[in-house]
Amino acid sequence: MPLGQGALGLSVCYALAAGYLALMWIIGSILTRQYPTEHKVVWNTRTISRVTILAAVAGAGAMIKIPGPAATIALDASAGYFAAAFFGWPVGATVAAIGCFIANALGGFASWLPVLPIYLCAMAFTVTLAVFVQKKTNIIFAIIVGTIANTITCLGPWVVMIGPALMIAILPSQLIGSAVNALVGLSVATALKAAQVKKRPDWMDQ
Amino acid sequence: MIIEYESRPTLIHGLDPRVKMVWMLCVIIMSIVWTNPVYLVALGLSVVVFGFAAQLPWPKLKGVVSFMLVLAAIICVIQGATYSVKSVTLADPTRILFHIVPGWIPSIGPAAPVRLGGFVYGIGMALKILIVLLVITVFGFTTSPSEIVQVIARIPFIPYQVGFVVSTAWKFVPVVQMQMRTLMDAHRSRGVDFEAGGFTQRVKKTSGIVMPLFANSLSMADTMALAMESRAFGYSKRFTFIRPYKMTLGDWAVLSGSLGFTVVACVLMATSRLGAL
Repeated sequence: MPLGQGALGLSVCYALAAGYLALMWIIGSILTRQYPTEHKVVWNTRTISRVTILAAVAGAGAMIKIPGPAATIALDASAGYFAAAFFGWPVGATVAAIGCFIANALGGFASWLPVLPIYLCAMAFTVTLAVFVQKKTNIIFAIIVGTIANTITCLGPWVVMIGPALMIAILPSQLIGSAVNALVGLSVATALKAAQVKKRPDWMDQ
Repeated sequence: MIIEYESRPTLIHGLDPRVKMVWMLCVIIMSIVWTNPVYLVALGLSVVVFGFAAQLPWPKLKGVVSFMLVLAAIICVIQGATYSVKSVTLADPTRILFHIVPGWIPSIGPAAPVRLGGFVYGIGMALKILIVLLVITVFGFTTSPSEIVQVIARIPFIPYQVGFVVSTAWKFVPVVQMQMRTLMDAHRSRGVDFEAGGFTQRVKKTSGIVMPLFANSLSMADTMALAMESRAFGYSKRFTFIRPYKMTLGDWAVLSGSLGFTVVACVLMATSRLGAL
């Protein structure tokens, strides 16, 4: 039975959000231990400026609208995926959370504001999980897992509060939106990483 | 924001942004705590009074409110059909109001009954969403974005770097958007039509902008880091604000009124279920 949008329903959802954060921390710790060169982050001025600009990209990405088969899709989460894959999970999780906040703020917090902290935790967890899967398997699995995790973590609280009926209607657009964001963010990070490693062709300097 | 900030000589605009934020949070908390639509309507009306005092341009809300009314109707019907509420105020919450599938449809009707308790609860839920939207609109209309981030930066226990990141990112959004438009124009000049083609093609075309956008952002971040370091960002743990805030008598009145009312409402809800459906 749904718990409603009252104190009880929200408390359970906040507990869920705390669970997302705990899971993110566990997965992140494993990543940091196993891949320290990529995922150990020093919080210096350069890192802060990167987080700032990528959060702005997330905010601006909310205004890139792609008309999809179910609903219009915004590219607000792709900066988080990109940051997690390119600069490490702590940067990615921070960008995903702050970017989500800015994208929501620019939209006038049209989704119910009390659930925003849950979305922030969900986004931070999702990008960390996606990058973990990408490191362990490949980008395709990472996109699939990221899409499923994002859909479940974002719609989960609403199912707890008002039941699954309304959520089933939103499910297709949420799934497609999550998949596109994960695809764009992770593939751009992979491409830019490859471009960094690849030797500059001689003909370009001639 | 749904309605952008406008500087106006009203009492609400003149309030300390911290007080306005506390007022907004108090309204949100009360909208969560109360489930009785009568109480929620009263709370909504109090926000409307604030909106009138702030000279909110109400016609700009027409589109959002129309959308919200449709959403509210859907929520009411779904809740009425699926939610069985334990009411303390309704005499017979299980009474059937109508059926979603009416009786005149042969072999399947009447089906999916909408019950009074769930329907009234749905009204309450729709009101909760509407009140939060309204209070944020009033707050956003009366508080400038720079003031909002100043308030975020002043929240205790949050490192000042977070306030810096949010405020700077907020200000950089138009810069990134401008870059995005330039990139889109560059692609258009090469014959790319972003409106043409199926969904997959559109995603592919948009990815063409995203790649250089991220690459540009990285170089912009490096330039910004240099600028920050040249101004000794992070040298000191202490953080100063360019605009100090000073509370007036009116600010204290609104602050104590909001906090007092919220505490009393929460206590009454917990002890005598006042405000519960």
